[in-house]
Amino acid sequence: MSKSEKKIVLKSLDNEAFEVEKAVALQSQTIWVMCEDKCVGNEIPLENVTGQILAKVIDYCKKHAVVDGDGDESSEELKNWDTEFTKNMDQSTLFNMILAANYLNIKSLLNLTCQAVADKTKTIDEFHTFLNIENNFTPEEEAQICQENLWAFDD
Amino acid sequence: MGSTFTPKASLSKKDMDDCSKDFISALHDSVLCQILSNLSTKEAGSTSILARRWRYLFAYVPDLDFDDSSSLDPTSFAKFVDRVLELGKDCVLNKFSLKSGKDIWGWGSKVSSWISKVLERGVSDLDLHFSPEIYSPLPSKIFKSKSLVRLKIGPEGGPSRQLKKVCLPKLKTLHLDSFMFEEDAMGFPKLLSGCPVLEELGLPNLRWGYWESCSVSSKTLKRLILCSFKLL
Repeated sequence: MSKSEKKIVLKSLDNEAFEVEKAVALQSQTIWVMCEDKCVGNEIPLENVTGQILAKVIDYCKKHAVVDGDGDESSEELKNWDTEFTKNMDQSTLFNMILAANYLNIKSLLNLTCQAVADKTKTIDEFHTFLNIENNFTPEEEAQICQENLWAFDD
Repeated sequence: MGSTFTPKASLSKKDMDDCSKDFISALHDSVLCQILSNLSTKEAGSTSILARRWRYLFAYVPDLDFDDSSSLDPTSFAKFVDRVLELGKDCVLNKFSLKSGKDIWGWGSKVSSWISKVLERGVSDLDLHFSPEIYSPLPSKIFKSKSLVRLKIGPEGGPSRQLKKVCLPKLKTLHLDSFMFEEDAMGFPKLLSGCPVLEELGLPNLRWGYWESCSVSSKTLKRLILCSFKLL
């Protein structure tokens, strides 16, 4: 691999360009496939990700490319870093991170962000408010579902 | 609320900044299942009441985790497990964890049928934990699974169970509490030869019968936890 091939430019939805090491970017299966297919040059347009979110995704990929999770200490350090990474993310950022991780196909980041949502939504009320889900059941349907899954609603 | 997802038909930047938007609608069912797989299956089951799209999603998650130790009604627990396994029978299953503290009529055959179903679905991680008071015979096919990577059977100090023939070609982690080898010391090397890629073996409370000496070797084993007492 020549020097110029080691770097890659990722371009966000709002035209922000990020030059990163190829090894960092290739944690995304989507980018990996694009590079394999040689359907893009050195600049990869990512139409679904804003610059603000892409910067965070790149931070995550850099951290996970640098630290090899073999030793106990480094994997522990990585775990703590992951926890801090999602800890104070607001709802909008967290969901955009999920969308980005899903689109870019970065499995570990998708797991991490899904875990973060689950941690914030342990009760039905939390689900409704945090996820902005509108209940579209009739009261009769609700009663039927409670009956179907009785044990899940038994406290 | 739409249930289809096309990555290219993306949210606009304005949408992405709009905190009041129902972001969940833009996520594919498989991603929602991934969020739910971080909850216990009881918690996930309670999301069936959120909205129409969520009604059956909880049964499609790849990691199932049932724990009835704090529940008062074992019959409704059994019905719920039956329902989840029936609804999700065509879905990929990675993990099945069952922790049970109650005994009900016909429990042994119920548990056996659940275990058979999840093994047929190619489960890779099986974690079974029963109350010491109940003894359910385990289906022998657990020890002949081609898909299991991790197997844990408890609880600590539970009823003694016999370990017979083992053939688990993919198993990397094995924890069996309160087991005894059918052939005493001979059983141990047989266990290791039946698990060719085993990396971690835990045999706490091993029922130690008439062992005089035992020599074993394994090229793959990295961690061994052996704790036993001699049977009188």
